[in-house]
Amino acid sequence: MRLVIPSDGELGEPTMRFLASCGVKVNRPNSRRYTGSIPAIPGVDVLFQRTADITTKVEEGSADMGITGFDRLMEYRHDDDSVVAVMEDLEFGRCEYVLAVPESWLDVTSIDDLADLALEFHTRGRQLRIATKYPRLLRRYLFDRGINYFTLVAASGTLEAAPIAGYADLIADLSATGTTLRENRLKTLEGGTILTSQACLIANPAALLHDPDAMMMAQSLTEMLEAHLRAEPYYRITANVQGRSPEDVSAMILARPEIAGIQGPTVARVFSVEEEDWYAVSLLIRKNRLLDVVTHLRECGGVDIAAAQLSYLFKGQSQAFDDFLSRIATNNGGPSDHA
Amino acid sequence: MIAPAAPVIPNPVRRLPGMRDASDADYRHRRSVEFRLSDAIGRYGYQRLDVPILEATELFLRKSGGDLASQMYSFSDPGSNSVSLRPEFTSAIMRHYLETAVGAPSAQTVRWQYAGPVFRYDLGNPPPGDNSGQFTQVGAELIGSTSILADAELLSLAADIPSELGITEYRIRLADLDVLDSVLDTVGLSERARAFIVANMNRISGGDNLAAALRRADELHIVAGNGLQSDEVNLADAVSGLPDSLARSVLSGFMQWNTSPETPLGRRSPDEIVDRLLRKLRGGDASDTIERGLALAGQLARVNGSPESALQQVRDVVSSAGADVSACNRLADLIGLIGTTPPVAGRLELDFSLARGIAYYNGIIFDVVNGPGATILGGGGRYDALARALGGPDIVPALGFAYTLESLLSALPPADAGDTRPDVVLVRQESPDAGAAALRAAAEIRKQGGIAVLDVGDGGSDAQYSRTIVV
Repeated sequence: MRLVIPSDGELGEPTMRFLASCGVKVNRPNSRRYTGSIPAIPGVDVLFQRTADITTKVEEGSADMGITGFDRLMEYRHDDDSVVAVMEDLEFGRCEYVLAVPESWLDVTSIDDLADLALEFHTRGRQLRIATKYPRLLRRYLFDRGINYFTLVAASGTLEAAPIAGYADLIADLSATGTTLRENRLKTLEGGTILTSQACLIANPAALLHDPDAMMMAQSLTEMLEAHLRAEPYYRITANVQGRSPEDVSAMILARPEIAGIQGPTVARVFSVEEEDWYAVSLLIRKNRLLDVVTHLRECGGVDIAAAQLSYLFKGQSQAFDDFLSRIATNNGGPSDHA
Repeated sequence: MIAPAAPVIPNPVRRLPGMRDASDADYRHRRSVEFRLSDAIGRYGYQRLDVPILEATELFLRKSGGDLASQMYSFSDPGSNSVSLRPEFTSAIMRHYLETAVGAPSAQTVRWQYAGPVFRYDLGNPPPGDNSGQFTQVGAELIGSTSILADAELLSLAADIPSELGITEYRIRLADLDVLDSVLDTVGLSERARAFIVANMNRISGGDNLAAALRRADELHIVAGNGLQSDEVNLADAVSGLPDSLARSVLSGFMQWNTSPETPLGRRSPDEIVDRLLRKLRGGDASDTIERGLALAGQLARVNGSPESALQQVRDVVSSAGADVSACNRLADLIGLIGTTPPVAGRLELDFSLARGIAYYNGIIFDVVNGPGATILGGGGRYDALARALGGPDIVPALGFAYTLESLLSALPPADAGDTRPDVVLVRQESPDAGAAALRAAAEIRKQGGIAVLDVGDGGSDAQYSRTIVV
């Protein structure tokens, strides 16, 4: 199975860190090599590519899976499902694709204003010029909002300078925090977010269907990433609590069901020499409830309260991979006729 | 380690969505229908004009605004020009007229007909129908006449088309934009508010939708003082009551205070920004003006039915609004001219919800619908201002319609089951060395005007041929 990941740019390092945190660390012999491996899933070849090329690499079948930005996927994929998102949100690389106009445009605060301005430009025989990296997403977004008169200026470098240089009136660009926009005296518009993006896991269904081994590895990888992300919001709490019986201890814990863990407590006898009425309690709780839970356990007489980060939380099956499989099972026909 | 070569995956290239392959029988059927239509239109004196499939993207953008823009197959040609497969014919026909007829010694009326493929990418929002991917338009344009007889001729011609093919259950829905304009003239609306109302005619035919339309007008800052953000409300208060010139200097000062010399302007001047800001703060039309405009337009949008009763409803709206009656009279005259004789008689309905907001339309607008589901077969209207929108020097009176051939074909009654396959003779060689003789025999049959097929050993059944000869 060939997995293609970003070699550099905004997603390069974060992708390596993310895979490592999921227990599928990528081994890259040295930074000049464009291939690597994942020892945890033998048989996976990792290819390093520019983020901009990843969707195409997976789409054309020179890789089976990839990690790229959701924005890149939506901009570059063909609408024939030859590449699909297995997991749309890997919870890193978050950014927004937004329209930004010069701060001096006091009259323009919303996307409706922009629509009106485009019409005004048009009636005066001019066209609003918008500099962007992602013309396809932008064009569709503008058409959907009834903005029909505009010229897109393709640009790949620093877009923020376009309105100062005067070769565009406004820009559509990726922004993680808005700082760069503000520094260039640009402002975003109400209703002007074209897409909210983050890193995603993509796959070429045809390539995977053709190779059962690659499909197995794709499933393993998906399971690892999904179980890790699923575990992220939780702590495993253990404590020793004194009580008359397991039922007695669990009843004390469950007196506050909202912090009693996602599946209720597991209670087990602690075999100690001196005393016989100690029980080990184990709970899975949301991270933001930690101190509530500790307080509650203390009130129940709990000691030795330990909280541990979960690495993985597996369910009965992989939701993401099952969804992927059922999606490609229904999408395997030819073009449908409009008859 | 070298990455292993990609395994070969069977990956046939497939037909594009919305594109169709036609069999011999389908092709012949479609072509014969197209010829019948061309003949019928030709009997009205319309000459064929064949225009390119590929045109400058700008041509279609100027005509359609964005209605079709998002569905166009547009791309850059090798010379980096932005070009598009045509999504319709009218703009190319008008382009041709502007290139050839303008500046001719005397103004002339021309009648042109056209037929051919047009292309619209299916974005998946409206349910896919006959009008997506590649489909065929058949239509006619009558350019250069303001006469009411021109309207009558074009409407009659359009009404003739379905019956020419044996379609019986069709109706013609007609509206008149000049009548709508005359009613809106009584309200005193800005151009913007008027354009908004006309663009929303099909939505405001019901009473509840009026409130929704008013809300939308708010959001678009068409209604004075509404839809402003809180800091804008403060600005609006600051300039309220000031004469425009003074308000402009207040806003200019405010702008200088809030920006620095490095602040980009795009390609707008500070004056432009201040002007538009002032218009936005002062708002467009008063809320009750827009409401009255919407209400009147709503009354017209609800006009529906046979010409006699519907025309009376239109007259009632026009007179209660105190509008100029000349447009209404012209519409009545047109209906008088064509409404009681075939092919229009019994098929005509007035329906003002058809009105569309594209700036260059005026006068009549119509569509032709079939069956209980009111499937749209085609439509047309008058668009005197299109020539100017396309860059012509002046208004050129023009009328036209277009049918979707595929929609006409699906509306046709089932074809006769009669076998129309031509006679085909199969020529088979008796022995392996009789090839030359078989070739000669086949050539002889073709020379006589017959169809001959050589048996090349493909093992097909003889039954598909009318006879077999062995040489």
